[in-house]
Amino acid sequence: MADAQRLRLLAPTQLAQEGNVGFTNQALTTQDFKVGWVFSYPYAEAITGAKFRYGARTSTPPQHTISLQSLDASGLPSGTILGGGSPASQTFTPPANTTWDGLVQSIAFANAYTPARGERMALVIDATSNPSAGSSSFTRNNTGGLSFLQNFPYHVINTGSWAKGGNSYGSVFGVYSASHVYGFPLQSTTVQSTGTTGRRVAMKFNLASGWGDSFKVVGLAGIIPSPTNAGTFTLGLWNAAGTVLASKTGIDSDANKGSGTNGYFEDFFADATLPTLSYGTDYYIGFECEGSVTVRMTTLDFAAAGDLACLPGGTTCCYSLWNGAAWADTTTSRPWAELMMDDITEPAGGGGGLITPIIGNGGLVF
Amino acid sequence: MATFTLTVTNVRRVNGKVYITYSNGDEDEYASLQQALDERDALFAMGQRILKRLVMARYLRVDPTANNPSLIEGHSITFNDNINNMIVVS
Repeated sequence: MADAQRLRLLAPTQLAQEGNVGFTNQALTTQDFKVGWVFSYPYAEAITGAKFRYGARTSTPPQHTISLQSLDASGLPSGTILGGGSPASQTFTPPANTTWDGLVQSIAFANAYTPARGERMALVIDATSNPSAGSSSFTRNNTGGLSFLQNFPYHVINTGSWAKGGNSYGSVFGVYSASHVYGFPLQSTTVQSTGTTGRRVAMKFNLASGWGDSFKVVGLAGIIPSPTNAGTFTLGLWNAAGTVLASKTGIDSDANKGSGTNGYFEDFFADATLPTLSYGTDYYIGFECEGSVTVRMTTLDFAAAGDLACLPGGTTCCYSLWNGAAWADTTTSRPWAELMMDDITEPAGGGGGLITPIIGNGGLVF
Repeated sequence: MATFTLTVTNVRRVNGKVYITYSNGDEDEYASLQQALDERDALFAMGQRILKRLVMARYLRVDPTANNPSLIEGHSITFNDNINNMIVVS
């Protein structure tokens, strides 16, 4: 047993809210205009492609190039594509219709690039040919509700020369390998809800086997749209069969700062003894409709389930709806929420976990 | 003293989405007209916080005749719904 002191796990982003969620795009209306994102890659492995969110097009967009570039001394793209004679780049041409608008696109590089762990670089998009017959815009950052002011990674804009984006909200971009997705290739957000008694909006989670012996969760925090109708609702923790493991019932919807507002929320279970939970097991935490109040939960939505790998907790954590009889997972959506931990119990000594010490001849051997 | 001017250069709706383009190159995208309105309402809800920032940006200066910054009292910034000043989205 070890008091986890309300350690928080699985938040996809910082739980900050300012205004409503949106996106800011950068239109590349001349061949000189470029947009990019500067980041540090956490793995020493081959980056095989990139993701971006397409803003909108006008008329017939030209061909574009997406590439990984080195940085100059000011932290701006140098213009040199990484990979030398095997450049990590690719060309693509957006369609002359709206089918890409607001959607995340994945582009595989013609050549992969293998950085050193922590290597800083830029992902850059520019028009390969003159956008005289039409142009494209690319989402460079999110705004409003996801406004985590961001010093790094940061987006950069070139409308004649490179400059770091003045709007320092969260960058929207992604790079990927065979094993990982890095960045934040957010596509949209949704307010999930149910006003049917007994139904639940929840975050499905599964803490990996081997992390420890057992754990306890004391509550939920998140950016939660407060109810707009009067009444009560339940905060709950359930297993895969839908059985309640912990709860707090009768939460008054009036006990919020504002009606219908999207803002930070936290609350704790009422159980005198919290349930002991197991690693490697699916659980669900969220809100149940008691009848009068429509319960809601905001989700961050991605183009593919695999893109959730860019988030803490990865693809094992997603949104789920209980319809009264079964859970239905939306594997491309992650609730904007996190667990608050009450207890984390390490593996028992002598073989209960990842590390087994062998003591002999005056030292420890792992 | 630095100056900053921001002009709305384009407003359009495409397939239900609202795009507001500014002179600094920003193209702010909203999933729907309602979301754009929600953003507006949220900014007004933040009200005092936003207005304080605008007042400081507009009026706070360092008095060259003194050693301490001086806030010029009595100035104000007002938002109103005068249709002539509105971005109209239909």
